[in-house]
Amino acid sequence: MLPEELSSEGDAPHKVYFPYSFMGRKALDKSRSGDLIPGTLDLLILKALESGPLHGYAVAEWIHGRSHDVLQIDEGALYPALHRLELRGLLSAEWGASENNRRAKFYRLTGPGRKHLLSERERWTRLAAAVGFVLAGT
Amino acid sequence: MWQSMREFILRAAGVFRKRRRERELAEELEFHLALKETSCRQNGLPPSDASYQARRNFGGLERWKEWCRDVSTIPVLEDLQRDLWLAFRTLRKSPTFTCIAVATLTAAIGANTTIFSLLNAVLLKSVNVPRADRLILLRVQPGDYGYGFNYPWFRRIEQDSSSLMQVFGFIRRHLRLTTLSGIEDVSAQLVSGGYFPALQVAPEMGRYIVARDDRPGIPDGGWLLSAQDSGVRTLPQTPKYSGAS
Repeated sequence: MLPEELSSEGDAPHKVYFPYSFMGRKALDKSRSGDLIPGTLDLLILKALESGPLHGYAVAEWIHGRSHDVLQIDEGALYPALHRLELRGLLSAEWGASENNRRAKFYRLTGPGRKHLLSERERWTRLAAAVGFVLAGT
Repeated sequence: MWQSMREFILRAAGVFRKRRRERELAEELEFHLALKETSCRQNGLPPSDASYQARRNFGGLERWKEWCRDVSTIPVLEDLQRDLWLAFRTLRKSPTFTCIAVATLTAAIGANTTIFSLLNAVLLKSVNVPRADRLILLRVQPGDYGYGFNYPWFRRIEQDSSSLMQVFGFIRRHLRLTTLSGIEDVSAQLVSGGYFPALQVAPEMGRYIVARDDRPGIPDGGWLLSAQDSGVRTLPQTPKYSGAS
């Protein structure tokens, strides 16, 4: 689905950007970093892998389907995030055969990853509730 | 904490697994594009459009590869590794230049080391007197521009000090010596009577000044030496001083 199609209902889709420039060559474009709360993409990826190992494409599809087209992810942005989560030990990865019998890299949630998901989900719920309280006030 | 450590170590190790990392990265991203393309075709797009749309959805392939490299290695280390390799290849291409550069560096480093060893032995190591490690230098203000003590203050320390075994003073001065053979400008060190006894050095001949010489006037003759020549000789006449007070 093209970005134009995603925004066809009138509301612009929320872009989920890759939030890191950790020890990288490029400084993060500041105009992009504040669009959504940093760490959201991590949270979505961890959640996608909660029910079992998936390859990158399946993670993108899962997030895409679950967000009802509201969250638009640059699919390529998933991979730096996946690699970083793997390096941090929150995911483990191994190569296996995909459904069409091609070699694919499957990511699996590790113990620390599961813990991280729980704490991040809690943080997110608290934050969303707080924003809700603020907006509900008159 | 351990997560950051683990990440840093794995990223540093990633610098040395470049070929495999690149191959796997390309394979992973190509796999994604292939599935996307299939999905577009299944949605009714012709193959050429499907490929275009898959790539468009994905964003710039090279850009994401670059970002993946940035998170899975330490770019600074990778750059350093590349620079070193380039330097090595450049040097290998021009052996004459390399030889000259290496020879120059060797000579320079060798000379520096020799000079430093010499200076270290002569200047920086402790003074060549018995129990040099027990000597303490007192200054009013430490550092290159510290001040010495004035004479009455020094005398007071000399008399009252209970924690120091012996106290002596010295100061560098330019003196003018008048002898029968003419006037000599000499760089001298004025020392108090405790200087030589405290340092426990014996004179080649005659005697050094001692505590009883700490008074105005010229000490008994016959012990002054001139260091103008390499050989040591006694001055035939008692010289006159000027410029010292």
